Amino acid sequence: MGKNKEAVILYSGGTDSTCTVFFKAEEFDKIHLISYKRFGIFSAGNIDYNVLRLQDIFGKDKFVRKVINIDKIYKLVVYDDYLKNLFKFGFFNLAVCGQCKMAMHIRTILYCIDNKINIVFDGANKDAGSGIAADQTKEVIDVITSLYKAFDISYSSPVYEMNGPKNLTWQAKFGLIKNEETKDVKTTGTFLKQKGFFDSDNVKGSRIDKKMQARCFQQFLSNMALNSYYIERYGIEKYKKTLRDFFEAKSQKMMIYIKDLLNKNGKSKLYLYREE
Amino acid sequence: MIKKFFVYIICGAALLMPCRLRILYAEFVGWIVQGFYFIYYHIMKTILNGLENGKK
Repeated sequence: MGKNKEAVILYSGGTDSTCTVFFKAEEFDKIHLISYKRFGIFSAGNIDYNVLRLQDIFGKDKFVRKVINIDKIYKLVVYDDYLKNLFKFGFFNLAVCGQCKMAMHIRTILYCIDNKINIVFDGANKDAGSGIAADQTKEVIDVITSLYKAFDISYSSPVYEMNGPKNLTWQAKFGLIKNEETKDVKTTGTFLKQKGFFDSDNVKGSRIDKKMQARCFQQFLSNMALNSYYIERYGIEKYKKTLRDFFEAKSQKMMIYIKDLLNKNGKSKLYLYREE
Repeated sequence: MIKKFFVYIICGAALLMPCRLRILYAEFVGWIVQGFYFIYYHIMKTILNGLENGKK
């Protein structure tokens, strides 16, 4: 791949998206590190902790840093066609992380169009949330990829197929042992430790992790309704299929709104949401 | 059955809420769950520290 290119990375400040920056920083002249905030995402300033460290490593000129508010787009994603979705998908309307991430992707598409960028990465990982995270399952990633493709933007996660970290043991949580991975396991954490960025293989859930990421506890409702109740009752396959249908329906509507916006159609709901 | 009851009461209520109220409600539920975890964590930590000091 030739240089003189720009790419966007959706940057949360966590291990996976930081690893994505390490993988892609040398490939591009300029990386747009975009983070998002909205009502309910607290301590968004924490993300700068690792941004400053990345600037030290790759140089300040490598990055364009933006933090964008997605309050209104998030509300549109969640409540558009709400009654219909409520009857059709029930508790899936509480899939906060998936819908929040979709709002971020929609805003990223608008950002890419504004800045003439056609490559986007993030730190999605197949094992996130024990493989059932509503925003990172293969089914939802496929829907999001198609949404980007409709606007000639390539989207992928270079860390998607990497192993997820093993869960912290109770001994590690109480500081009795160090929670290191076995040598054959390659996670984003082991990669960053090799690079000297972290002291430990697995910082997820640790104090340092809390210092470098925004905080949001809203996933507990969907954990309770979907991960705990729905999957137990209907099985993982039906969960993934319904999740796909739910996000496909949302994606189709959002695609229309974005196209309307690009066609200067005053009726596009995104006209109201673009400037935040 | 009890789980179903709790899920329908706690999560069903959230489905009927407007955006900001739902966010605050979800945060509140999240903090309660975290609260139980913190209590468990600190009790266990205190017990383990006590055992370790006793050993010394």
